[in-house]
This record gives sequence, C-alpha cells and structure tokens, in this order.
Amino acid sequence: MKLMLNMTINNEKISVEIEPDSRLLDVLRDDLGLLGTKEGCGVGECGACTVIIDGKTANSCVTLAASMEGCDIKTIEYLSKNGKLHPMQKSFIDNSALQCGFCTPGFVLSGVNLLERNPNPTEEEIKEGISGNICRCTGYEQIVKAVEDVRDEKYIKDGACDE
Amino acid sequence: MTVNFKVNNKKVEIKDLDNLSLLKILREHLSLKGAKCGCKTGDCGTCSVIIDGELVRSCLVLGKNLEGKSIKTIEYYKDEKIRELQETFTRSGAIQCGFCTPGMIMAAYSILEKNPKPTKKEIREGLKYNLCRCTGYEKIVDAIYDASGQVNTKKHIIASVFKGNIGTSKPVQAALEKAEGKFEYTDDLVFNNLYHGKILFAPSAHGYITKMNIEEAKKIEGVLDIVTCMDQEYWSKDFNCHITSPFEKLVRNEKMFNRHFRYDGDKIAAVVAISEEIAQKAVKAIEYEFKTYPVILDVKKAMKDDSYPIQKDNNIAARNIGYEIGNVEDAYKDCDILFEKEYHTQKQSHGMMEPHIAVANYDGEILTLYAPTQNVFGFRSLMTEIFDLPYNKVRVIKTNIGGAFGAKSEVVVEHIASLLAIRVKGTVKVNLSRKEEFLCGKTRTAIDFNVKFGVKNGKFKSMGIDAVLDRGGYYGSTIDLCYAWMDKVYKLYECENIKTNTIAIYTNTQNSGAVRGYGAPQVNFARETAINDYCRDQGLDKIQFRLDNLFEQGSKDIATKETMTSVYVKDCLTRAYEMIEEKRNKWEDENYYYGLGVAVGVHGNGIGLPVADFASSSIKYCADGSVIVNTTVHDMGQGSTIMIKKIVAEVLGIDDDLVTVLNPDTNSNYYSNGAYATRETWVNGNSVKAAADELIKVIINETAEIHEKNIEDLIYLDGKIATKAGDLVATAAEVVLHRMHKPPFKEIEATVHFTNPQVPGSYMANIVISKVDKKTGEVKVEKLIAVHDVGRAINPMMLEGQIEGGIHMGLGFAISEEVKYDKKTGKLETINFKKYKMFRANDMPEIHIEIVNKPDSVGPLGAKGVGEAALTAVAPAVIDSINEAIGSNFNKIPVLQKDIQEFLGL
Ligand code: FES
Ligand code: FES
Ligand code: FES
Ligand code: FES
Repeated sequence: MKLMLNMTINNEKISVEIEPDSRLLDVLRDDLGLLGTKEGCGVGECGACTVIIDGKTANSCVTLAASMEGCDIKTIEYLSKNGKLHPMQKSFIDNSALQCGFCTPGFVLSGVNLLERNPNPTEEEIKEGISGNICRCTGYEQIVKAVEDVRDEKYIKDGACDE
Repeated sequence: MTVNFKVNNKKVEIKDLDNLSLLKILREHLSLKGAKCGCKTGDCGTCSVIIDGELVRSCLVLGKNLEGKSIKTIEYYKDEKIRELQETFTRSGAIQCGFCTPGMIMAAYSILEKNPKPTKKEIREGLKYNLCRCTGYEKIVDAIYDASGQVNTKKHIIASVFKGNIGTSKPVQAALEKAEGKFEYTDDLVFNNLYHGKILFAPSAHGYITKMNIEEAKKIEGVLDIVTCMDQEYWSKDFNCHITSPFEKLVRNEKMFNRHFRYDGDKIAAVVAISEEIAQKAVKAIEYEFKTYPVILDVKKAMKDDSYPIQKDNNIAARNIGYEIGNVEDAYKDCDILFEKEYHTQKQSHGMMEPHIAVANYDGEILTLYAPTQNVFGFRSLMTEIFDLPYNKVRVIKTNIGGAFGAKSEVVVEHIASLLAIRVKGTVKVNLSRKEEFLCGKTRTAIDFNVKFGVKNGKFKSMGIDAVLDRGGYYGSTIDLCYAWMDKVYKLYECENIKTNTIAIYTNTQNSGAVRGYGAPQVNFARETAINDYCRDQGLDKIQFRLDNLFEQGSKDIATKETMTSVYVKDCLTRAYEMIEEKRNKWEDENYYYGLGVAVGVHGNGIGLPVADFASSSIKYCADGSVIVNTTVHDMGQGSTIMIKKIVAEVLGIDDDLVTVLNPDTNSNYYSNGAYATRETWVNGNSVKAAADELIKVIINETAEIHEKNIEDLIYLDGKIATKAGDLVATAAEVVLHRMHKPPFKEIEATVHFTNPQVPGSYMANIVISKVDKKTGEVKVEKLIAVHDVGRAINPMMLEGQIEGGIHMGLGFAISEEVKYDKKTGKLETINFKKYKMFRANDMPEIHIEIVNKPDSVGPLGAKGVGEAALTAVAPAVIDSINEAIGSNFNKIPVLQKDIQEFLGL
C-alpha cells in the first residue's frame, strides 16, 4: 500500500507517493532527485543527511517520511536556489572548510541553522552547534572559522537565500 | 485509470498512462531499456517486443490497451529461446552497433515460435519489419538459421592465421551485452537532474525571420531558457560544423541558429525545459514571422550569375579545385576513340538506427559532452571555438554508438546541448526524433559528373572528370570532399594524362557531410558506368578492357607518383568472374530480363598529407601480464576495438582477452583524428603496432638491466624474455612487478606518435546479377559477388560483416534511396523510413564474399581498411546489370521502378 505525502520542500509544495516505511532521506534522494543530502551512516550518527525540518536540524536518515505530513523542509539545494551561493557556502569555500565535501551539505545547514537560532554564538557554542556532524577530513578548525566569518558578517547577504 | 499486465512474467500495474506508448512505459517507467527507439513511427522495428505471442512494435502500442496482456522483452533471460538467440547472434557476427539487435532477436523469436525450421527465405520475410543499417542482414539470417538447429553450409572468407590473433574471428566488443539489451546507448544512460532541449526548425526551405516572440513560450511552467536566431550573443557567431582543429582555415558561414535559414532543417531556436514534452510545447509556442526567398534546389540554377544568393555573394562554395597530370587536351588528339557522358548521383542519408543525441553538462567551469561521436577531439576543438573555452575546460566523452556512417563525425545537436547546458548550468539532453534526424542530419553530396576519356590501342590515354557538387546550404566539409573524390581518380587505372575539376555549389537542401565513402561511391559510379557504357558501345569485353587498364602490384599513384603499397584489383576482378557461373551479359526468360553487371573500385586509407593525420598510442604492461592500450579508436560496431586488441595481442604474443583499449575521452586519451576516411585500421592499427614493438624493446632493456644480461642476447617471445640460447630469463609480468616494487620504481610502457606515411588503396570488384520483371519493371538483385583486396584480414568475421553492410548501403544507393524534396517549396519529403526506402532483409540478394589474401607492405601486420571500400563499387555494378538486362543507358541514380517502367513503356 502506498501513502500520499504532502509537504513543503524548499518552499515548494510537493505531493509524493511513498511507501509507509520510507525514510525521508530516500524520498529526497530517490523520489525527488535532491542528491545534495548524503547518507554517511544511516543510523543518525554522522549528520551527512542533515536537513532543516520546521526550523530545526534533523537527521533525515532516521526520520520516517510518513511523519512529515504538512512539514516544512529545507535541504542544501535551497541555499543556492537562484544560482547564487549562500554566505555560508561561500565562507566554507573561502576557508577551505571542505575537502572531500561529503559532509559539507550537512555542516552548512547546521551552521545556517545555528546562526538563525543564535546570531552571535561563541566559538564554544559553534562547536556545540555542529557537534552532530562528523567530518573526517578537515579537523573542524576551518569549519568553525567559516561559521565565525558568517557570524561576523564578513559576507553580505546578496539575496542568495530569499530570507 | 489503472492498467494491469505482465512483463516478463512479472505483474505490473500502471496508473495515469495518458497516451503513453508501450515503448515509453518499458523504457521510462519500468527501466527496461533493451527496446530502442529508432523512429517512433513503426518503421524500424528497434522497439519490437512480443505481446501474447505476437511480434509487435512497441512504439505503436498504447499502454491503455494492455490490460491483461503478457509481454516478453529482450530482458527475459529466463526464456531459453531468447538466450539461445542471444548467443547465436553473438557468435555469428550478427551484431555490429547493436542498436537493432534487441528488436531483431524478438523478431527472430517470433519467427522460430511460428516455424521452428524456417528456410532462409522465410527468415528474411519474417524480418521485414526490422531495419538494420550495419550488417546487410546476412549474419542475422545466419544466426537465426543456426538457432533453428539447421546446418548452415554457407562459406566464409578464408584468411591466413598468424600466431592466433590475426586471421581468427571474434565478435564485436560487448556483443553479448548488445544481444541482451544491456549495452547502454546515450538515451539509456541515467543522469540526475536532467533537463531536455528541443529545437525549432525553419518554417520553409529559404527565408529570413523578421520577428520572433518568445514571451508566451517562456511563460510555460517548466521552461528554463530559450535561445534564438534573434539573439546577438556569443552563440550567434559563425562556425563550421566540420572543424577539427583551430588551425583549419575553413570558411565559417553557419550559425547555431540561422535567421537567414537556408533549408528546412535549419535551426532557428531552442528551448530547454524540465521535460521533453514541455520543451516541445514551448517550441510550438514560439511565435515568429518570416519572409521567403527563392528556393533553389538545382545546382545548375544555383550556379547562374543572376541566381538568388544563398550565401553572401553567390552560390559558389568552391571552384576550380582540381589538378592535371600530363596534358589531357593534347592527348585526346592522339586517341583512337573518345567517349564523353554525364552522370549523376543523388543525396543519400546515413540511416543509422540511432538518431543524433547528446547530453551536455556544465558545472560553471567545465563543459562535459557525452555524445556518440566519431571524433572526440574534433568535437572538443569545435566546442572550445564556439564557447571560447580553453581545451582543458571542455571534455568530450564518446558514448556507445548506435551506428554512425559519418553522421556522427560532424556536430548536429552537440553544440546545442552544450549551449543549453551552459545557459542553465546543468545537464541537458537533446535527442532527435527520426523526422528531425532526416531534417537536420547531413547527407551524401549529390554530384553531377562529366566523364571524358580517350583510348588508344585499347588503353586509356587521357581522362578528364569534372564534378559539380551540391553542398546544401553551408560550407561544412566542402574542400575535403573535393579532394576526397578526386584522389580516387588517380589510383585505379593506368593513364598518363588525367585531370579533375570541381565546382561546389550551395543549394537550399540538407547540408552535405560525411557519409560512408565520402566521394568515392559517387566518382566510382560515374567512372565505372562510363566504362561499361563505352564497352557496350564498342562491343568490348568489359572484364578484359578493365584487365588491360587496371593498376597492378607496383603501380604508382598517378598524382603523387608514389608506388602503391599493394594493388591486387586485377586478382579481385578475375576471381569475381571465376566465382560467377553465368558467363554472359544478358539473357531472359518468360517473365524476366537478366543482366550481369561489373564494377571495380578503390577507396583510400587515411586522410593523407597535407592534413595532419596521426595517432599517438601508448601501451602499458601490467604486473600480471595484461596490457592497457591508450589510443583513440571510436568503435561504432565496425569492430575497431577488437582490431586494436588483435594487433597488440599478436605483436606481444598474448591472448587478446588480456588487452584493454580505452574508450575515447579527451581528458585521458592520446590524440587521433576521428573514425573517418577508413583510417582506424591503417593509422591507429599501425600506431599500436609500433607501440607494441617499442614496448618489447623497453622490456628487453629492463630485463637486461635486472638480470645483468646483454640486450643483444635476449629475445622476447609471447610474454616471456629468454636468451637466444633458449633459456627463460623472466616473464614480462615478473619484469613489470620487479620494476614497480624495487628501485628505480617505474612502470613499463611505450608511447609512439605515428603519422600516416601515405594513402594506399583498398580495392574491390563486384559482379551483380539482376532480374527485371517484364510486366512490372521491378528490379530484383539476385546475386552479388564481392572480392576485396584489403590486405591481410585481421578479423574475418567482422571484415565480412563490414562488406555485407556496405553492400546494403550500396544497393540502396543504386536503386532505392534518395533524399527528395517538394520541387516547389523545397520541403523535405523523405522524413521517415516509409518514404526513405532502405533495403530490408527480404530485399537483399544472395551474397558471396572473398578476399585476395595478400598482405600490404605498410599496413599493420599487412592489413588495410575496408569500412568505406565495402560499398564503393556496388552501385555501378547494379546499374550495369540493369542496363545490360533491358538495354537501357541509365546514367543517374537511383534507378527506380518508375524509371524502368518508363523505359520499357509499361
Ligand atoms: S546518514 Fe544520517 S546521520 Fe549519518
Ligand atoms: S570534508 Fe570530508 S568528511 Fe568533511
Ligand atoms: S521505434 Fe518502433 S518501429 Fe521504430
Ligand atoms: S547492428 Fe543493426 S543497426 Fe547496427
């Protein structure tokens, strides 16, 4: 039996037919073709699959898609929707906060979400804020620096993100 | 509405079918991509499947009519008969490009279901809905006959075998995958976030767009961008679709979108959207106005001074191209007999089963083009020129090709896909329908010839051939074609005085481009038909006259004065005549007139100077004794991958399964010009041969160093290095391993850059018997003998397959295929396979092929190429057989049934 699921993804209302036991991650990647969200562990430990659900970060690999009825979901694709980069993405690039890049979408979303909740986090708070995400390449130093640069408004919002 | 049916014994339920065809459902909803789309109009059979035991073309079946039905497709591997056919197709050489193969196998399945022991004739009848452009159907019929368990007594060419790789038969690369429907052509590949491009074609054959409005089209939801001929942007600059290097100073007079459109396949705009349907809808929604210009289809009209200029000043693309050896006019005065007559050849389409398709990706920095191309480096050059990108930012990757025959050596949609990808910074596919393919694909150059020659004492004394080329609307490969046809005039008959001259003309017809043979089938038709006409006029024996005049071993190219590397055309002709039982020119019975036609011919190998014609190759020995060859050959079913493997394997004395050949990719491969001009065997073959020879030297050096021996004392044999006395020193694998794991740490490889030293001839003789129905004027080609001088056969089965496929194309050239226009409007009439008639399995004659088994002195291991030679002498032999049978003097091809009826007064 299939279920009809209605939700808002990246500001677009979407109806999609899903299996009752599908994970949100699979619906995003397989049914909607949003491949920015990655699967690193599948058990909620690495944060590669981070998305923002109703304003909070969540691991989409441990989120049942069926429970998303009516929810507002944002994925990494949302940030560069108009072809321009979000300041956080720009900052990650400039700070070499990405190497292989597999963890990056998750980190960027965690960073963005952190600044939304707390526009002026301390270094400690930033570390705390991204602690749900694992990176095996960078040693986190530059990731923290990237978030700090955005916090310090080194990047002017250039309309990349329509918020 | 929900429809329930079974596919390969699995239940399927599909909702909201709209008006989907079964083919679309299979390919897009069920991911069963074995069935191919060659036309969508029921004319080609590439989409064939079985529904409830009946063979159907799935593009014609609507999904909503499938309730309760049971469908079998090529993917049904559990069916033993399908499996068996897949195997017999593979081992019989019935597969070349493979695009028709899944459909053919389903047709074969249906034939055998109904009639387990069919005759070959019944098999041919059963295949009549399925077109194949590669094989000439011969080996497909054999494969089905084999699968029926009957004993096939057909003779195959006999080749001399060397160590075991050269001269033994092997199916084309990936033959079994092709038979199983698993071989992925470009339209079968999966790309994420793929957008679709569609093209708006010109409204008539000649005119000018005065206004265009894209606002409504832009508003359609899902449309991402529209580019048009009205834009003044970087994509409105002039280019030439044939450019293969930035140094080529060719005339550039074509734009991606042409506001002044010059034929009805000219492009005037393109849309990119999230689906093909939406893109098509938007194309239709583009509004425009245009004024018309006079339509000129005829070269004679186009040449006149007062003719409306299709290009800037006049309609002459090139004139006075030609060269004279000796003094032709003076020599005519000294001849016993002069002969002069005009001949005409038509425009012919490639008719490959897979239409043009390309997928381009642009990530903001690098343009990656995935296309079934015959020339990755040429396409890269052109993209860098058009988009002003450096070479390292353009990557062209050859995808699997469903037949090409020259079509895919010049850009047709690849630049459009690239532009759209750059515009949306994403991935865009442009996939032509069959009608669009006919519209904007290129054609063979139609040529009007005037052939004149003088004979003294039974020998040619002087010869002059003039040609007027119909090039269509743009310059393209005009100059190359001029030299290509002329070159063949100096390589076949001894004659001290020869001159050629060419004028190339623009008309409002499909742009002429590279089509298998590239000028040779045209001039060969004219010259050979002239010789047959002359012999008939003079009551001469057409075989003897040729034997008195043909080149022979030691003959020199009349233009370059170089000794030909091998010429056995007389052997071809003598043998062909021996093979035919009927030793008379004409006869008749109650119902038919019969005629025997003869022709010989020549085709070149490679491009030749002054054009850079070279191939670099590198071979690396791996630590287990296998090798990787980096050379650029474009396999399109003609077998070039296996050819390279066999040559390398033969030189290195290893099994060809141990050889891997890289797929063409401009990022990784060594340079070579493309797969055209019959150059891959001659140039790439020689290139890898030289690299393998070099590799042996390298490995002997390394062995000598490691084992402290004298280089002179060591020999390499079959993957081992031994002393001249016969003591094994090491295997090649051991040497590689040693070098990679101990100082000085290096890999064992050799690279060479091979330049084509000269263009030899591949020669052939064809003898044909045709019968003409006295009541209907219908021609049936009954028997065709082809004897080829292609040096040593590398892979006899594929060689035969190439010749059979060439015969198929040559027969169409003679009596069925013609690109036709409405005389008034210039609109293309031949827009599908119903109107553009290619030979089907049941139209083909009995074919007998032999080769003259004599090696060439320069060719790789003695080989020469055959790809284009295969069809060169077919048409004149067929036309001769008709002229003999009914006493006609046809000098124009194709000769159609209506022409014969007219001649016979029926
Ligand atoms: S994949 Fe979801 S947390 Fe690792
Ligand atoms: S950049 Fe590689 S895991 Fe973070
Ligand atoms: S695609 Fe169906 S017959 Fe050609
Ligand atoms: S093998 Fe039949 S079309 Fe190519």
